[in-house]
Amino acid sequence: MERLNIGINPGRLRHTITLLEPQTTVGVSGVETTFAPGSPPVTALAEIKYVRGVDVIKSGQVVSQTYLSVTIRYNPAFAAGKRIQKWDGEQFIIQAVENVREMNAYMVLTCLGLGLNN
Amino acid sequence: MSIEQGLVSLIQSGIGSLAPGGYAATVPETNQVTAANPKAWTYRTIISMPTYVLEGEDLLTELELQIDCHGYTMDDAILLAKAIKSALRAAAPTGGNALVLSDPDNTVVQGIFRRAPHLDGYSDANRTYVRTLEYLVTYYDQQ
Repeated sequence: MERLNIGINPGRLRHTITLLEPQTTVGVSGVETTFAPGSPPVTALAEIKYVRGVDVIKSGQVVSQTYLSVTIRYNPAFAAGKRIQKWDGEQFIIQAVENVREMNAYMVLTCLGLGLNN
Repeated sequence: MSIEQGLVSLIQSGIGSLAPGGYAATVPETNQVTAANPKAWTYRTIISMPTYVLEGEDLLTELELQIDCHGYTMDDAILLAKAIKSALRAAAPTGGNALVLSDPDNTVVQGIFRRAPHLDGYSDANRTYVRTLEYLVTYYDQQ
């Protein structure tokens, strides 16, 4: 019988990230969505791995896109459509969430960064 | 050396430090629109129509120019478009006076007119917004 090992070496979770929640406000352009930390802010210790980076030339812009894999302890507050912010202010869009083995132990966030691989 | 150079200088001096811009056709990666760099503008020529007289082609030329005002949010795009419209409205020659641009040819402009197109858009690659303006510029083409 296979022995499940869902543990993680906590030493790998060496970076602090902050969850940015979507907020709807009314501005010059009407209703707009901005992203900001909740109250109180939700943070997590994370392992951040860069997966790949590409240049996309589209819509009159040269755009650099960076894909990240971010591992954190399980917290359902981290969900697709929200964003995370690193300690240095860089923001990443959470595109997908993997609840590893559906064990509610830890999760892997697939994230997209824009303009950050220079 | 060109009408483009003169117009870019004219707009950039009008909007000041509000946004980098004057890029031809595309925003370069070095100035990608991000939260830290929320505005940028580009231009592209759509139409250049010379005037013809009995002697042939005249220097008086009608240039239609597209200006794309990129913003990290739609607010940014709108504010940048307003600033560019304001700059060109203030600089446009009136009362029969010509405007001399600061390019090395000192291109002489007879008129700057905003055209009807006023399009909003969204970049799915960069998650940013754009407001597109069009202008008709009549000037003497020094070739």
